[in-house]
Amino acid sequence: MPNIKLQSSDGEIFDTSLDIALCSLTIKTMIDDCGIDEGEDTVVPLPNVNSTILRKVLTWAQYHKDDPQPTEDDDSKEKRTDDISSWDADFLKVDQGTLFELILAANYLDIKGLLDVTCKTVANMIKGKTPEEIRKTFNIKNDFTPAEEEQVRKENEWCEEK
Amino acid sequence: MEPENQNFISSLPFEMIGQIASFLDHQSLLTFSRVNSLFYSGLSYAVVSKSWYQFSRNNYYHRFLQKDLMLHAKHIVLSIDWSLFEFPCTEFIISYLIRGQSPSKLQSIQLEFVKYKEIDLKNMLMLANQIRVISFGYQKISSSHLKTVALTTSTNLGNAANLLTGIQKIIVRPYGPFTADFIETLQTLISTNYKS
Repeated sequence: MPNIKLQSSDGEIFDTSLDIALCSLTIKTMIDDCGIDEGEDTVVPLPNVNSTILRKVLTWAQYHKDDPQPTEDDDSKEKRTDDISSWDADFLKVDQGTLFELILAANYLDIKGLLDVTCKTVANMIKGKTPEEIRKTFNIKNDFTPAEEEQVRKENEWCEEK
Repeated sequence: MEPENQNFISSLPFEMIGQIASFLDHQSLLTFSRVNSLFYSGLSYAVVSKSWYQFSRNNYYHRFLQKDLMLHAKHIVLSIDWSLFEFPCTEFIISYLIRGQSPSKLQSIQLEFVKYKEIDLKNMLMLANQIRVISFGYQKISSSHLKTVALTTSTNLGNAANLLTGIQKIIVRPYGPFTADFIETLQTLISTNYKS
């Protein structure tokens, strides 16, 4: 498998195996549709991903390169968050800034596996918490007026009683 | 993970909040909706996204819609998986969504069709038109709320131009693969039908 060069937003070049780069459907589309050659001198610019995050993404892609491709059926399955592998869990023990940059990068690069596992990780940080605890975890300002908050609480009442 | 000073989660695009919300169980979704208005909108996205395939087997999301939980959502993205599309069900959900909206808060409804084939295009655009008709029917929101129809895969638009009348804007997301011929056809349709 030939190599391909990826250029991060801050100009760093990553020389990586094509099969790893093709975990990204964005890169695959660029290669397939935009006439980017697979030769050694090809540089694919990735202006939305900095070098720190791109390095992490490539590490993840290297580890998962032999995973089966997600199928359309996967989308219709019940979404679970308790199935994160121990490797992924360790990989995602990062500060929140890095975690959310990984979500953005996975979305931009269209890497479904990475997007899912990063979103699951954030979902697990939300589960079981009260609204105030969630605000504290993510440093979120409550922008509801007291009246709006009361209305949302009332809307939820029918379900919370269950 | 320790709390940090910066509020990273609120800087995520609206769709990403919805993506995270889609992994939450129903009780966490309710809690999530009470954190702030951005998360409330994220809940709307997640509920709608889930409802397309869970509607028939999970009465819970049906009840969400019946209770008009999305009354105050600012943006609604109707992400329609055409491969799972069931017309009566979808039309029913959409009528609930639009009837329940507060005109003062709603800023946009975006239709996003995924996984459709060329043969589906006519019905897809008819649905878009039908949503516009429903919104007029209830007279609660104006046609200006129906901002966009996002086409998320390539197709040949053929003679569908007349069905696009009334759709104000088309966003083509770079999900590709798009052929040059497709883009040219689409640009022609946009210039013909776009009403500023």
